[in-house]
Amino acid sequence: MSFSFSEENNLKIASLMKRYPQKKALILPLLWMAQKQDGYISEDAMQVISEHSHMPYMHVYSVATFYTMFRLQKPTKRVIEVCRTLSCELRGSQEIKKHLLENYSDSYEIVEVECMGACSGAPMCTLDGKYLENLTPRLLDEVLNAN
Amino acid sequence: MKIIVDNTPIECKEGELLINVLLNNGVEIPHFCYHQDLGADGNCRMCMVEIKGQKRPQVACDTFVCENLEVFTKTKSINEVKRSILELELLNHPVDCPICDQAGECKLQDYYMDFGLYNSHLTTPKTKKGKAIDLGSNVMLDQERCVLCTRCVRFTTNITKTNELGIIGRGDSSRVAVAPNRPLNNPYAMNVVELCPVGALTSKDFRFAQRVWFLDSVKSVCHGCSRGCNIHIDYNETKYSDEKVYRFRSRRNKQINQSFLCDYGRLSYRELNEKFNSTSWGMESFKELLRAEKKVALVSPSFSLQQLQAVKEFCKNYNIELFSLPYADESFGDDWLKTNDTSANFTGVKELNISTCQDKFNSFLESSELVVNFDHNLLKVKELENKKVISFTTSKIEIKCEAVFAIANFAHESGTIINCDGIRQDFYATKYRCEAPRLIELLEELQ
Repeated sequence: MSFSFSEENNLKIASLMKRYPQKKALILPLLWMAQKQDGYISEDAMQVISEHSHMPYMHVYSVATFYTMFRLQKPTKRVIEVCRTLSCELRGSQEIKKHLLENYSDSYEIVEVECMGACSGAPMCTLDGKYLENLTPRLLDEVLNAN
Repeated sequence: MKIIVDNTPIECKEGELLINVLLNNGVEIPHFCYHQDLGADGNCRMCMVEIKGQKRPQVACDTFVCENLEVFTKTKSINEVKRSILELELLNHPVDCPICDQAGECKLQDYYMDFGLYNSHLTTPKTKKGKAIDLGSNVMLDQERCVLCTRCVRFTTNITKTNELGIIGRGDSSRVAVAPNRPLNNPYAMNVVELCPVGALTSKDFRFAQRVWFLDSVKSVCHGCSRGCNIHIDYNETKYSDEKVYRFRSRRNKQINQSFLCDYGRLSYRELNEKFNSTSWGMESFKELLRAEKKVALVSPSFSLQQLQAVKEFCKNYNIELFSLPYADESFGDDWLKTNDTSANFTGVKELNISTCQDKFNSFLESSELVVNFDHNLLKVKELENKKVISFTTSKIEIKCEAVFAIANFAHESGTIINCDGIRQDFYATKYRCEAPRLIELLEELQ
């Protein structure tokens, strides 16, 4: 099998197992873990998770497809997630979105998501999972061109 | 204990599921997700009933009966509830009945005619989903026709425990699917086609072969193994062509197969349509052959009791040693419906005291000049040296015979067989007469 959890993640799994009375509760945290590790959830990863959680493969697959934030395909571009919820909207996320789509949609995958809990730094987005706050189009250019 | 349904008292046991009581007593209650052999799931909400003393309508599949329960299934207000639920079930349905294979035996169609008859409120485009998806094991899926009752999912999860099917996505886009690269693959897979109340799951083997309203149906018993699963044979005879059997459907029997069949048995209808040649023989030459000194006969253990009895009489009259050998296949059986004994009536053979001793048969075979084969598979393929063979057969014979008499197969016969657990079951003939004569009549003629 081409997927295995890293040493560090295996230690985390061991402590998670103690936390839940039922093995099937591991499905969601492990799906997150796999996505963080590889950037997406592969079929092999789901197989490993189904073994850890003692649930059929189909069940893990159902759960993974239920939540839109799980990615089942390997991303071909780097991912920018832009918040589309109230605080960011009030602080001008429309402009940020427009700027991103016009200039960066070829080289980045741009996804709109709900509030990520960083309203104090609105408008915000993430790049590879890292938060970029108090955005302006200029700040975006700076960061994205630097990377 | 008694409950009152639509002002009629019904006798039932305390704690039974209300929908089960209604179904067992022939009260029409629309439902998608409930199935008597899969149990309740409560997701479709179609089986709403009114219960006296309860503020809101209740689902019959989650209500247990108690003394003096008063149920109404046909009031105006409950029909209105069902109509609304049905509208939601049908919301994204493509309404492609004219090209759908389920048309004529579709619950959505039936209920729409009973309770629906509304104009769609939908102003936005319908959600598009996958069509004509090959799930494997002869099962085709149309996700747009699905009502998400999860009967198929519960079958693979709870009954076969193979877990190939599941619901993926959520909300409007939720749909039945198999996981990528993990097709439906179990020896009972085609049951999901029959379980599906709508046209979402159809059989690759049957679809587009025949409209269901052109089919006749007869109660029969599968002859594929000694379990004796109850079936309906669906057949018809069209102009200028012979009768054809199109499919087997399971017939509910709580003691034997519930509502299920194995794929092998389900597809074994094909053998019934096979054509083969037989020789026509005059009485005289047949009797000439039977004058041989030493004769042995082998009878198929799948014959009905009536046929076996007739064969036994016949052999007694002509002084023929009669044997029957079992069809054993160690690789066929499993721990559910399939049994290793792949004949239909071996218990019946034993009951009629027909000899089943292999060694004895072999020694008789050695010394005999004439062998009469009553449809036993062994002597259809095994060439015998220096022996004359007369065959009565329902299928093609591979070896050289002196005479071959075609006889009607079990679709064209009525009779009784006894299954591996000693349960006696009758099966019935289709309404059209077969070209080949029935064995019992043929033997009477030959006496």
